[in-house]
Parts: sequence; structure tokens; C-alpha cells
Amino acid sequence: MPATTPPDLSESPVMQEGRDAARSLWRDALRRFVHDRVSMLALAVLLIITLACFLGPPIVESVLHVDISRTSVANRYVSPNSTHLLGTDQLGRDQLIRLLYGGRISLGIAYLASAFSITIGVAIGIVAGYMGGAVDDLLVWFINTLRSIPALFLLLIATTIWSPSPQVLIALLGFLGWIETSRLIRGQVIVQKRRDYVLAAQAVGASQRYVMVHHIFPNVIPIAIISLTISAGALILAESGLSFLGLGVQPPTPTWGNMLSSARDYFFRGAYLVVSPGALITATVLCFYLIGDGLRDALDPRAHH
Amino acid sequence: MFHYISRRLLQAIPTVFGITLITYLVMLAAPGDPITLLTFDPSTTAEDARILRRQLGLDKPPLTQYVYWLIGNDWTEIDVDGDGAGDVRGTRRGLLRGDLGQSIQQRRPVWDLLVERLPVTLQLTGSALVVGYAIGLLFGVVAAMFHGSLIDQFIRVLSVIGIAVPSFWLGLLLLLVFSVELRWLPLGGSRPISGGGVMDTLRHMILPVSVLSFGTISTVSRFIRAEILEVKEQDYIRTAYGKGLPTRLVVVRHVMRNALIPVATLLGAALGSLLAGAVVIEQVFSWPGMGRLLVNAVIQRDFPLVMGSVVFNSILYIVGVLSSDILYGVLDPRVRYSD
Repeated sequence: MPATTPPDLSESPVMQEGRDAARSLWRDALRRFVHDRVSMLALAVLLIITLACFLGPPIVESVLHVDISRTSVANRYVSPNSTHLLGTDQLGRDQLIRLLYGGRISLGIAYLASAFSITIGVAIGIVAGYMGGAVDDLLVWFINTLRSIPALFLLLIATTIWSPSPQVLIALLGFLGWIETSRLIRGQVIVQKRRDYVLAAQAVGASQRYVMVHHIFPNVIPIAIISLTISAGALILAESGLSFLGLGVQPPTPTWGNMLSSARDYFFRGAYLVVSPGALITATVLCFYLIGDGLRDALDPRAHH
Repeated sequence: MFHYISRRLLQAIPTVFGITLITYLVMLAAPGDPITLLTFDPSTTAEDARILRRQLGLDKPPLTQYVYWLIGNDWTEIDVDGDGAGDVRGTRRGLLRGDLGQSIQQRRPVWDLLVERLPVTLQLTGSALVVGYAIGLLFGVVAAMFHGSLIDQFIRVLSVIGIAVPSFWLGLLLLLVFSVELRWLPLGGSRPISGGGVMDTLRHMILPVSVLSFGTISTVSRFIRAEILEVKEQDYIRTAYGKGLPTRLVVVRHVMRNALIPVATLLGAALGSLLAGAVVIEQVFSWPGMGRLLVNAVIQRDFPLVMGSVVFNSILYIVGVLSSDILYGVLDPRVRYSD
């Protein structure tokens, strides 16, 4: 079959009706999401944490006169006080400012890596699900194989080979994080491709690529958004776990994970140093998961039957 | 039944093959020459290095190296001096026959190192699996029975936190409270049961097992709760009530029996996350298992040990998933006959 572009029907009344319906589907979802108190609270907390990390440091530095890199032998293990709101660490550095800068790295890695992994996951999921046949068999075999190696082990092999700078970690986590997403997307694509609208598009001569991009893709966006949120949470945990093992981003660049890792070595001198990075990781991951749950309820029409 | 089990076993073969292939490809992608790690000694001459390279089969094309790694080279002759004729017989037996190579740092077979540490790790993961399932089942059933009540809300919140909290942080906090402040429990390490007695062993296990099982408790209780709530809506439950059975009987015979069977499918996944979790938890509590071995191997760039322990753990995980699939098939005939 020659791959022709279908006739332009975008101005027809039928298409307009379709767009209205689609718009109200999203509007419905948004309304449901906004009315979900837990999700809105989680979103607010996440926004506050993100903004604090990306915009907060200059303000904190000028108000409290602390500095990210200033070490001070005299000020080691200072308990939280009015200058050092969260105390100082084993080198006399201010814990709060390091947490904020560390958040830039930890959150940055999580956001970029999950965007990266969702892109791969959606592309592979759509191709595997829509093409079927040998392509699908091969991709499914690959996915199943990667799934049988627990993710942490894959990360450990990878860090043996590439020393983990933030950029390398984004690439690694992105490359390893798409597996679950592509499974979910593939399942949804297999359902969608049997629908009449796909058949209709094929009947008017749309190419495979056209159908995948213009018909299948919009229908898997909800799943992709849910996956994106959940995977961002999982990636924060993965990154912090790796840093905790001493195999993530290396000090003196702070991340929440490596701050926790070094706090562990100075356990007896400054127990408060253990509390704050972990609490931030937990709060952030919890927010991502709760938002993911809320989005699932809002976007999944099946949940409302 | 025989067909079901044999089909599941056959399906695992391409996966195991894939794991060895991916691990091998990553090993191949590693920058740097493995020889330089072995010939750190400055007195090594270029000729020594060439001999070593031939002995290790590193002069062979990648595909041949992969085959040797997989099934060994004891059926071929190694040309040590490079004159084109075989000199000595190969000694490697290959991964499929339990030979995972030699650890570079410890200069001992990887297989021996792993098998030594296996019981210590299983002691931790096995206990966490039992504790996680027991408490998870209890929480899930209670939450579903009192659906919508305060206790249901409490268990739901707890199970979300259980997935979000980093296990190493929880471990550190518990150490701070119970070992540093209260001094009730030891700071870490494991004790063999023969050494310090059962009570001492248990004291060392309380904290790591609690932390490790927290995730399992969360997943199992969420799963069970959803499963029970779904089964409760089924027609056969309405029928059971309709024919006048007392609530207790309906719950035990109809709801529980149908809701608990799918929990078997979680076993494999739970084992996987426990093995991965153990890597981190062993680090927190200085527990001398396979996880610490692996982390040290990564830090020292001991490739054979890293690869060996990843393949070993993945195969353990696949065996776990297979057993849980088979168990599910045994418990529920519908699974056996479908697909």
C-alpha cells in the first residue's frame, strides 16, 4: 500500500465535534484532579520544594550570610540555630544551603531522566504494540530480559564502567527507566489499534507512521503522564540509593543521597544531619506518588464506571 | 499441570540467555583493557602481557569470548606462545556449568565467594519475606474488612509511606533511636546462630529485617486490600449471602480463598526487590552478605565479580518468579488452562 497523506479533513464538522469531545475529556480530568485535595496538597509541596531548590539559594545566602563552599573548623557540628537553621556538617558547612543546592542536582536528575525515559518508553511501546510480529517479539524479549535483572543491579554494572557525573546519571537512569512505561504503553496500544477509528484511518490510506503519531499517540498520553510522575519518584529513590552506596554523584557536589551517606559516617557527632536529607527525599517521593495516584484517578475513565 | 510447568520453564530460557548477553555486552563496552588491571606490577613485560592475554582468551573475537564465558574452554587448546599450535588445555568450565570466573581482587573463584555469602543474605531476605507477607496480609485483610474506617485510612497512608521512604534512611533513623540513643540493639553485623546463640542472632536481625520488610508489607497489604474489595463485589459472594450463609463463612470460604491466591504472583517480584534492597540494607547494617560483596566489587572495579554476582542474583530472581508462577498455577486451575 502506498503511504499517502490522507485528505485534509481538519475543517470538517465531524473533526470539530471530535476535538470538542477530546477537549472536554481533558477538562473533565483537570476538574477531577483539582478537586482531589490530597493531590493538590502533594503538588503544592512539590512545587515549594522545587522552587526552594532552584530559586532559594541566593535568598538564603544573602539573608543568613552562609555560603555553599565555606568550610570552617570552628563551626563543625553546630546544632541547628538562627544562622545555621539546620546546623552544620563535619566540615562546618551550612546544611540548609547544601540541601538546597543538592536538591537542584537530585531533582534535576529525576526530572530530566524521567522525561528522557518516558520518551524512549512511549516510542518503543507504540512501535512494539502497533507493529506486532517479529518487531514486537524482539522488543518484548528485550524488555522481559531487562526486567529480570533488578534495576539496582543494572545501575551497579553501569556505574562500574562509567563514573557517575550528573549527566551520566541522567543518561543511565533514563536508559534504564523506560521498561515499565513501555510495557504499559504497549498494552494500551494493542487495545487501541483494534478500535474502529484506527481502522478508518487505515482505510483512507494513512501511513503506519501517520496512524502511530496522530491517532495512537494522543490516546496513550494519559498513561505516559501517570508513568512520568511515578517514575520521577522512583528515580529520586534510585539516585539517592546509588549516592548512598557511594556510587552516585561524588562529593563535594552535594546531592540528597550523598549528604545522607556522609552523615552516616558522622553519626555520633551530628545525628540531626541524618534527618533532613532523608526527610526531603521521602517528602518529594511521596508527593510524586500521590500526584501519580491522583492523576490515575482523574485520567482513567475506567475508574469512574 | 506438566504442560504448564514445562512451558514456563521453556519461556525462561531466552530470558536467561538475554541476561548473559546483556551482561557480556556491558562488559565488552567497558573502557580500558582488563589486562592493565591484572598487570599493575611494573615488572611485567609486554611479552608477559601477551601471554596472559592469550591465556585469558582476550585475543579471540568477541563472539568466541562470549561462548567461552558461557560454556567454558576446556574443550579447546590454548595457544599460549602464539605459534599457532595449541599448548595447554583450557580450564574454564563456563557460566552455564557454574564457573563465573576469578575475582581480580580476591583471586578466588567468583562462584565460591557468592555461595559463601548466599546463606547470610538469604537469612536476611528470607526473614524479611516471611515477616513482610505475614504483616502485609494481616494489614490488607483488616483494611479491607473495615473499608473506609479510620484504621483503613491509617494502613493506606502507612503503605504509601512504605514505598516512598528510602530504606537506608529508615535504617539509619532506627539505628539512631534503638542503638545509639536507647542502646537496646546492636549497631550492625550478623552473628551466626552457632556463635552467640539464638537470642543474639535475633537481636542482630531485628532492625535490618524490619527495614527490609517494610516495602513488602506495603505492596502486599495494598494488593490484598484491592483484591478483597474486588472479590466482595462478585456475583458468587452475593449468591453465598443469598443462600443464607453466615458472614464468617462467606468471608473465610469465599472471599479469602479467592482473594489470597493472586498474592502468590507477588512472591517473585517481592524476592527481586528484597535482593536489591539487601544490597543497600547490608551496607547500612554492615551485614556481610552478597550485597556488600557486590558493592565492594563495584568500588574496586572487580569486573568478573560484578558480572558474576549480577548474573547470579538475576537467576535467583528468575527462579523466584518461576516458582511463584508455578505456585499460582497449582493453586488456581484457571491460570493453568488459560493462554
